Amino acid sequence: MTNSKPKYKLTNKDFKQINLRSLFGYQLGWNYERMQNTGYLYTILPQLRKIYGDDSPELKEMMKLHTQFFNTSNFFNTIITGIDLAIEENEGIAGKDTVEGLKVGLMGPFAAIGDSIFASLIPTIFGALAASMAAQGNPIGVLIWVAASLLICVFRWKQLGFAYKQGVSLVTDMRDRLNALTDSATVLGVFMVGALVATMVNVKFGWVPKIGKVSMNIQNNLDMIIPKLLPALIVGFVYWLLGKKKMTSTKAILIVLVLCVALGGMGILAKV
Amino acid sequence: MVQTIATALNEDLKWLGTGLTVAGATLPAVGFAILLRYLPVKKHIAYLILGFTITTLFSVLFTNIQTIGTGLAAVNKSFTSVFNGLPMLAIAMIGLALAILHYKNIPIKKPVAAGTTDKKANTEKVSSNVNNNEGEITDDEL
Repeated sequence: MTNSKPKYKLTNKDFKQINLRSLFGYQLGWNYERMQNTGYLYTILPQLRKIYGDDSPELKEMMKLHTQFFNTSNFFNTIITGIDLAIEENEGIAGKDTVEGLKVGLMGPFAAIGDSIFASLIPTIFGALAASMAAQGNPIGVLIWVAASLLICVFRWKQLGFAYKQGVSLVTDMRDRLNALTDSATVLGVFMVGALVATMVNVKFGWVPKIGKVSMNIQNNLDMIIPKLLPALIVGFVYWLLGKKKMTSTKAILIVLVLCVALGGMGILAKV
Repeated sequence: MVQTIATALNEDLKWLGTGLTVAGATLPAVGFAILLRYLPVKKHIAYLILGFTITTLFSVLFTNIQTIGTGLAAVNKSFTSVFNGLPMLAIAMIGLALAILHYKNIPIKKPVAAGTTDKKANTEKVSSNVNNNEGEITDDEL
């Protein structure tokens, strides 16, 4: 691992490229397994190549890091991108753990804020306004909504530079405490993964076997132990599976897929 | 063509459709498991348990209250209270508070020679593992 402190400094041109990629391509690679991971990597890939250099082992490692599970509000994603790039630009591969902790720790809170503001609050306000004005034959309400959407795009455009500046000052001010910060960021990250397991893996036992005339509701019995036990067990199972030798994440996906189709088809498992 | 497939999935191959729905709902679990492989789970296991337990308890509580609310509203028209779902931001705030406490409990020391090099060495060990095993970390004790 030579050359661990990269020399490259991001310019306004880089920010422009990231913003364009974020606005037009961020959600295109959305998938059920890791959600926005490819989108995240896509938005910052040219900058990563400039920071680490083409074909370098560092680039390979960071690309692997950035294709981990990621899901946040697409109205706030560049805030995380900005802080992330500020750290990578200053620390290089040494900041890997910090970046990882920050990404995992921040994606949950920003998803929650972003969804409540941009997915429910704003459409409700402007939608109601536009609809009530349109019902009276007035098109201005619709135009107001379009104008608001454009303003939101400007907001999305501006936040990257802001987050980047915050990230740079974070890295320079907190240099001697960066390890502690990393550790705390991973605490938040691990906590949020626990929370996500409980909310985003939506399966339950659908099987109600009959013993004589008594039907046994397995899901209810499990709920009495602890709710969402099944999602936790599934995550634990896949975690254990991934620790096996010669196991790749692709194989793990296929195994889970086949098991789910089989068990779901038989009605043993069901979507909540 | 599309109609044929849709009909087949709804009738003869209904099990396949259901199975795929279940698979879709389960696949995030794989994502989380991979993510956990990259995080220092063993070191922070307490926070993983806390995050899971707090969220599962509250989500059940909130969902049940919503169900009761819907039922009451159907029975009695004068019941107009609205119950919302679990706000994830609140859960994130608990996580943030724990992270801040954790941060404050790490003693301030100027670069501890032994500690930092240890961590570096570990990190590099982990990184080489990453390269060897196609992204799977066998030892995640950072």
